[in-house]
Amino acid sequence: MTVPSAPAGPPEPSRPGGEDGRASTSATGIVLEAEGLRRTFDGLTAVDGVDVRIASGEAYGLLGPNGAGKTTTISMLCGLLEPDGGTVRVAGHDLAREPAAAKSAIGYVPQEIALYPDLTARENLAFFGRLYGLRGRALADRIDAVLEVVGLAHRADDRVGTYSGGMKRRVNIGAGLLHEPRLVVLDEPTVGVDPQSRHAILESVAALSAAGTAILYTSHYMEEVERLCERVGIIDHGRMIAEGTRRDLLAELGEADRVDLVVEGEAERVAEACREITGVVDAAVADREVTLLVRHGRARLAEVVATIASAGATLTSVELVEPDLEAVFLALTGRALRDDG
Amino acid sequence: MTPPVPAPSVLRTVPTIVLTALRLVVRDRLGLFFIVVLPFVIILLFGVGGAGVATASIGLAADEGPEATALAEALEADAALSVERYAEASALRRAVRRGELVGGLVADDLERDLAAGRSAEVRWLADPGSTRAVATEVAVRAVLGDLDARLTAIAVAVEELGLDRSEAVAAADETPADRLLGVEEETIGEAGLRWGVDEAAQQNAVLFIFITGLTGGVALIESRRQGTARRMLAGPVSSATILLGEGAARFALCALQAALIVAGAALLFGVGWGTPAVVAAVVGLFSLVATGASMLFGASLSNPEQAWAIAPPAGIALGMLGGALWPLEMVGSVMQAIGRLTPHAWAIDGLRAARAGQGLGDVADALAVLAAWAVVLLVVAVWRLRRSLTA
Repeated sequence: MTVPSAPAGPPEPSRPGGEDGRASTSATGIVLEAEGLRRTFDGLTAVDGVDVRIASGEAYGLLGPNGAGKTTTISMLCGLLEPDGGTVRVAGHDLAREPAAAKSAIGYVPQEIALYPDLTARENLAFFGRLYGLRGRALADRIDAVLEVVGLAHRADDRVGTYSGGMKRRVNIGAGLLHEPRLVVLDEPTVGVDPQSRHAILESVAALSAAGTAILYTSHYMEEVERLCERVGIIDHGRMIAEGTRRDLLAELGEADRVDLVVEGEAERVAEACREITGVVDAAVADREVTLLVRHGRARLAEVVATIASAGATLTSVELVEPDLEAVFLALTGRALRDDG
Repeated sequence: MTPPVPAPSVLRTVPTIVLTALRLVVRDRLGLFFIVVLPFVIILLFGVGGAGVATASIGLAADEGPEATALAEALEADAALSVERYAEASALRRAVRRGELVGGLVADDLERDLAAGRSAEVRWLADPGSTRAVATEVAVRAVLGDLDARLTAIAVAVEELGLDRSEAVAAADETPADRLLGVEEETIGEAGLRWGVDEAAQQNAVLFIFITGLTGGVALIESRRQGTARRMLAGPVSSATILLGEGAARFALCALQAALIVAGAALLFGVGWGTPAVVAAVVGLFSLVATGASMLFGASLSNPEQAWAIAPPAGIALGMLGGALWPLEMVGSVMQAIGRLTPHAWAIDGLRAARAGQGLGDVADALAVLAAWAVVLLVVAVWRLRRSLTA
């Protein structure tokens, strides 16, 4: 894979409405710059004033539950959906005024396996490469390079329909890298893949970022975002509710810990009861799982266990987790990240 | 990082989309069977079933006399018919009922009425459920039409010119039938089969172009569902270019289907399609109609299973209405009027005209209707598909 030019340093953390208001990075290092993105569907606001700035070589994680506005935001950033308001600039090109130039700088990796199952990996890559203007020797070389990167050179001439889920995911990512984009947008790229493929995908993304490519990464898997991304934006109900480095966001929690409970009984009732405990900042329910955000969590564990019993439920498992982005999300939204509701 | 590659032009993107769509068709063995093999099997079956390898046996019940003899000879002269004379209409009726005959003509008072200068009534007896009887009726009606023209000429000569009837008959007998309009006929192989296969080839060209178009819409649905269409849109190509490419791909598929049937039927069965310019215009415009239907189908339905369940029956139903399974002349006036609402009927009209040696000017109405259908379907389809891709 061709190594891109040296990346600019990642921008300093920023928060919407914070002191600086935007990432402080040199203008030349910014690859994606979106301001005030807004989109409504039938009067329902899906995205409301979202700003995103990503510098060259920076990996940016966009977090949010289903329906938060992630996909709509990504669709607008990639030119798949026209925003009702706001601007998007990619590699210095205004997406509305110079769509071809702006889109040429983006490598879009959709959540679904957007490949033709009856074509081979090489044929799929050739098709999408040609759509980006690659031809002849240059196209053939890029296909070979991408197949090496995704580790599928040995299966290049097999039909994609015969691949495992993980292999399809890798080709899916490869199709977004063919034209050596300055910005790669990955929308839930590891959904439904085996651990080995997942590891390979994360390694590839990390290598891309290290080589200077700007990455916009969305995932339900918090640990992936924590591992890959220097900066994280949390989106909920169409608004960017927090943005910054992991450390900055965790600092928001203060001394709060996350306590994950699995209960037999009425989880909602347990959560309600736990909210009355002093030090419990928030509680969220997903099926039988109750996630609590508790100041000095270790010290409150006994009281939590007693409260569960008094709520008529049985505790199946309890885990005290170091503060993480999941806890940040819970603190900010009152919901667990994977809570679809 | 290498410098950015310039965005591809429409002229490069559209062929890329078309070639990929055709490659996907070639990879689908079941689809290939439907496009390459099935039309020829159907043409052969319809051709044989419609006209019969052997001639159709019919009966004629009429009093002995010169007019009845002339009628029997005229029927016998048609290579698709063999005639058996019956003295009694009841015996003829029994033979038809038993299936010994495809059908029968009853002309009880033929000699008396014609001698008196009146119209004579001829009744056709047949099993209404027999498709072969329906096809045979077309041949019988053609013979009766020729005879009617001769008898009309005789009547005019008697009434208007004051000739004696026997003189008029003699004059009519001496006048060659093709004095005013000469038709040179060349038959290849067995005539009964020839008529059926030619007709079936035209009908099935129309039928299969449309069905191939509709089933081609399934690929569009898959493209939307798999996300490949969306991925294309994320590239440096406009939605208009993608729509043009998808449309061109469907058109190429329909046009290839048409070319395959036209060339294949000519080579395999010796079908003579007639005026090439008319055939090309009709087939081209009808392929555009099928392209519009394909794209509308692909934009409107949400999953391939739904499309596979609907496309073939819808294609066959429209083919039935439009005369692509049997000639429109065989159905009643109401069904004929309904059939005229389908593009199929106009395409078949155009192909028949081509076979009759007519030129583009002669089929202007059929071409105009097909063009109107194509424009309406394509405009609606592009609007819907654009919405489904970008909304």
